[in-house]
Amino acid sequence: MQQRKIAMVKQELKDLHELKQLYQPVADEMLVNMGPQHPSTHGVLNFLLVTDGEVMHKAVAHVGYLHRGIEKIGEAVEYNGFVPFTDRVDYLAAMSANQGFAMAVEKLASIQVPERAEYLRVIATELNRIASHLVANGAMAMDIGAFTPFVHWLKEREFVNDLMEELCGARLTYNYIRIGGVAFDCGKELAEKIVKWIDHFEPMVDEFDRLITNNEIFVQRLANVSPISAEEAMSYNLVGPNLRASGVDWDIRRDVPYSVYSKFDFKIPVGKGFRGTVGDCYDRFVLRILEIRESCKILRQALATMPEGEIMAKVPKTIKPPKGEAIARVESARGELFYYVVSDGSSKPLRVKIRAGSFTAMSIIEHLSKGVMIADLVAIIGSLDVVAPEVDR
Amino acid sequence: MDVQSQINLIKGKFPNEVLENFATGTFVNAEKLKAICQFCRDNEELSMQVLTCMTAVDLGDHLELVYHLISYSKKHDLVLKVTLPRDNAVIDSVESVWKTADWQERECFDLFGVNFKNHPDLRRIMLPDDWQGHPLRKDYTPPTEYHGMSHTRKNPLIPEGQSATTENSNG
Repeated sequence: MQQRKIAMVKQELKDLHELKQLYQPVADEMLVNMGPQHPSTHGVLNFLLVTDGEVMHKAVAHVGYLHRGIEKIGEAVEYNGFVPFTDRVDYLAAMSANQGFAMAVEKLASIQVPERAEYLRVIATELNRIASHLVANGAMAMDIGAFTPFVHWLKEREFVNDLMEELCGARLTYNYIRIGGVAFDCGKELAEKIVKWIDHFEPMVDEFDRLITNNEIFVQRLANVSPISAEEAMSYNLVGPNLRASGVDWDIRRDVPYSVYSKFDFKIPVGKGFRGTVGDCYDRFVLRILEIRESCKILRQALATMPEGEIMAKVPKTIKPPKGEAIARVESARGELFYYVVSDGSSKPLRVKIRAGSFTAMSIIEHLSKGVMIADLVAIIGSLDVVAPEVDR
Repeated sequence: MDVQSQINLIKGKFPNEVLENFATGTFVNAEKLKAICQFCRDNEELSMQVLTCMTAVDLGDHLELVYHLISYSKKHDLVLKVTLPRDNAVIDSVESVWKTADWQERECFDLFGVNFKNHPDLRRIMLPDDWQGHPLRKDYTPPTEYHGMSHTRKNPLIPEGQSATTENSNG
């Protein structure tokens, strides 16, 4: 024990020494650690802030606290066995993570998914997107000091969780979308419940707008804070709402349609500087609210037109896809989630690569942090909707 | 634009550097990768604005680096692959072409041990700086302890004398 303590202290001293060599603080600069235990970092991650008073010169993100080696686990378990692990990649939008992996393996093994299962997938992921955006926006508002909306938004999310529980028995890590289809069917009663909830929820979004989105103090706090240009967003590979807030009109659901999204009529909201510059923190906030409304539209259409039929294709117990590789891109709540699965013909994948939206969003923070106030860093992290386990995997 | 005409475009500029093709892209010469990437981004017909995913695959006798490029304006994508030897995996960084390569290459360095030349800040990203080995390589064996912290623990349900430790099931 004593030895271990000494080793850790030695390591800390060495770290500090290395840090000083790495960053070389000049004159009035001060090194401040933010995290790993900090309420506004959305999970365990550490920022080393190089500050001069309140103004930051640089914020260096240190990630990896939640690195569980999910990609390595992928090489050790069979294809079906990896699906529950994908839940843990992004616990706020686990459905999309399930779907991405399932789609990649279906491509590899040429499995045809029944149409009803595709509709159920759309319903589940869109519900999940609403829940995730509620947490993202609520937590962001709370981080910068507006506590009330967070409570209201979490209350709405509880209803989504209840619906999810009825659909698949789990509230957070669903393991619902399986290779070849979905695990459980959605009965008529539940479908009616979902519609009933949307009827209740859509007016609530208007109320949220009155409560916080159009709140002048809130707008002043976020407008013109750290705008990201379209070129920067593309160079840093931002995805999803973060990319669209910068004015890039791109959504996988519309531009590279997968599942049955091409059958639905929905708009892709794009940031245009609603109250300030294009791509500022406020744009990213508003984009998520607009996306919630579009998700409600998709949900209504999907529930109304869902065909009867099978929910699971005929999939062998042990899937052995032929040698080859496949990619799957799905629009998760945090943007394009990219799966790259390589098979060597055996029952276990040779390689599973997950490129998550939060990973690239985190990499832009160092660039954005130059010259902003420490309090604005919190707004930036919140607006980029970074989820730490998705960064580290 | 379909994959074959994209490859032909690159072939027009780099006739000797484009190697074997496959369904979604092509193998290219490792030494010219950066120039080819620059061309893919700047050429108006290709305009690959985004490096969406950069990763490696350990195939046992060599490493394969995979670059997935996407164009938002032209709505097409292309895969570039590079083969590298396992014991001396060195390649030019494409950080100056796409900023996202900074972190993605750091991850590849951390987990696969690929060295990127001219990378501005090549440090481990997921694992601690003093970690030994590169976990996503196929011949990696996890260490039994790290700074006195054991990776195995006693299972209280198994009595003394029997195989009393459970391995951490990672890998």
